[in-house]
Amino acid sequence: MIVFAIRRAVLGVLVLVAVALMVFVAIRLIPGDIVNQQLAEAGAVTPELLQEKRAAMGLDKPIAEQFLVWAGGIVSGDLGHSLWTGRPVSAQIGAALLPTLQLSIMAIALGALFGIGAGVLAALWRGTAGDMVLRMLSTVFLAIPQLWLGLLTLTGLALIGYYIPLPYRSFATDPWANFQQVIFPALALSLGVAAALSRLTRSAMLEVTGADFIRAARARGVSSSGLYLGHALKNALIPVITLLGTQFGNLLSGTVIIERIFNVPGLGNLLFEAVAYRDYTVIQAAVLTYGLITIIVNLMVDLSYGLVDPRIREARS
Amino acid sequence: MTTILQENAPRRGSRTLAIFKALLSDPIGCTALVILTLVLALAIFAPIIAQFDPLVQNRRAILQPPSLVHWFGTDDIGRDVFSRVLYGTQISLLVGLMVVIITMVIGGLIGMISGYFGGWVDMIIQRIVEALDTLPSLVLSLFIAAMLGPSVRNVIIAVTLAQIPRFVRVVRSETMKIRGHDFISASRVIGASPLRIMLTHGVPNLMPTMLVLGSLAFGIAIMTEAALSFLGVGTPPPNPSLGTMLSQGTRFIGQAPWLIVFPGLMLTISVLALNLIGDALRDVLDPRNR
Repeated sequence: MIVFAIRRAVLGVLVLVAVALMVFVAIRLIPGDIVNQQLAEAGAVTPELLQEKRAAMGLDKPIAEQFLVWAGGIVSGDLGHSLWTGRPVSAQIGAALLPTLQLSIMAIALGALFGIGAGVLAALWRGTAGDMVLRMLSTVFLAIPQLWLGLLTLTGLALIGYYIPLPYRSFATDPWANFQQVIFPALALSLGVAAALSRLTRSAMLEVTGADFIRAARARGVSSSGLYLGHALKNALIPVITLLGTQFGNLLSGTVIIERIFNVPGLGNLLFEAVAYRDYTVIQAAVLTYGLITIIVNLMVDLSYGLVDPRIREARS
Repeated sequence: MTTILQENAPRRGSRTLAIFKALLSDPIGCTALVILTLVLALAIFAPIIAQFDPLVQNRRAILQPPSLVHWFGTDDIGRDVFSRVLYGTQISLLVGLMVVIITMVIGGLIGMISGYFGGWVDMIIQRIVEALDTLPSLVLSLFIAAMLGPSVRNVIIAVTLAQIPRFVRVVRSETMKIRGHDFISASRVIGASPLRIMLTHGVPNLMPTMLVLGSLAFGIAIMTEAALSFLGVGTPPPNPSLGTMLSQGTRFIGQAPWLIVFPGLMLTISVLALNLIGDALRDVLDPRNR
């Protein structure tokens, strides 16, 4: 199990290096860099000035050398400085990471709660009106773009005369304001996750409840609720966990939009602003951070199979 | 997924027709097809249906709620929201369609090559796909769209790149399944080239999977286009894009809800229809799901 975990982690790091390389090269292949933009804004562009500025930022060196300098910095914890504001990038990423993580963890928790709950209920109520309603809801929420759901939430809140307090407060400084700022975006994000999870939970539950070991447990006199929660759900959970992992990726995509809508100063907002100003160092770092989060989540999903299913644990060790 | 097709496999044209007929006989699939056709018709015939030019401003009709004249109301510079929604849908569907076609061709090709040849070719392709797939799709699209600059063409490129990994992965595994069949070995024995095998056996057998994936990808592409336009790196104004309309609507959030409701509703209906078609296709094509 530990060997397995280490091997997965090493693979994850390799993928991350590939992502870093891809982003780094892509940025430099595209015409129109930050120096151009900064000087265009100042209103004076001469070739000499361009050259001088590029040299000062290290942009005139070969791409390979730039990459090595940058990669070396990352290893030692230095992500460089914003090309635009001059602030250290690691501080900006650090400040933006917390709101994004808080938002996405709350959303995935709510999504898992609603989704698995609805899935179990739908399986229990199979073929009844309740089942129909839950399945219809999940179909609809799968199709609603998070963009619209977020805006509808804001519209609804505005119509009942409620406005989310601004500016953003961290949980440490003002828990109540923070809760109000995060709960609505988290809810808007969670419904899509819940919809996807509930469908899969329902079908996995139905598949499992037909299995022999469930009938055996019933024959042994295990109560109905014990049967559902203890036996069936636990066995239905493996595909659900896999989906939870892939849903986390969708959720992160959603946070970019939802953070803009709800003014949460997270990674998505940081990336968005950096993109608007072509701030390479910040873009690179933000994109890489998203990659890192995904890799860690995938690793956790892989490891969690072992916790749920002893057979997988055995097979790996 | 291949079983049903081998039973009535002889002619390709009749198979496509059979899939279409089966889809029509499925109540949900049929409804979804009707809805999608309606949305398509609204988009295509926008110039005939729309009573107003989507770009013309009318200073005397600013932020008007829905009425008999302006069905979906007007925006902050007096443009007719209904007309803008119709033209916006046009762009959404255009982007979605282009993304799906390009993704099917490129993703399908790469997936087939990866699955058919295996070995180091497969190894390299899979690592690239993995790297692309590590980034959340919107982050990848936002990054690419921002680097390329706002234009419809660049949006298509950005969304396509984020969609390709999933196609490659699924097509690859389906190809590996098909490769094991005897008829493939038989073609190889009689000297058919890999290209010929892929085109004559691979493509027709992969079509059902591709259709299901394609209809789902269509929906995702529409949503991503809206998201990119919302973030200001998508379809450039003054083109009426649903995402841009939503972004403009945020400034009047409690004041003019129709600016949010109608563009979003159109978006959702389109995605819903496409998702349902995808689901129905999956049921129709895979007897195990019934």
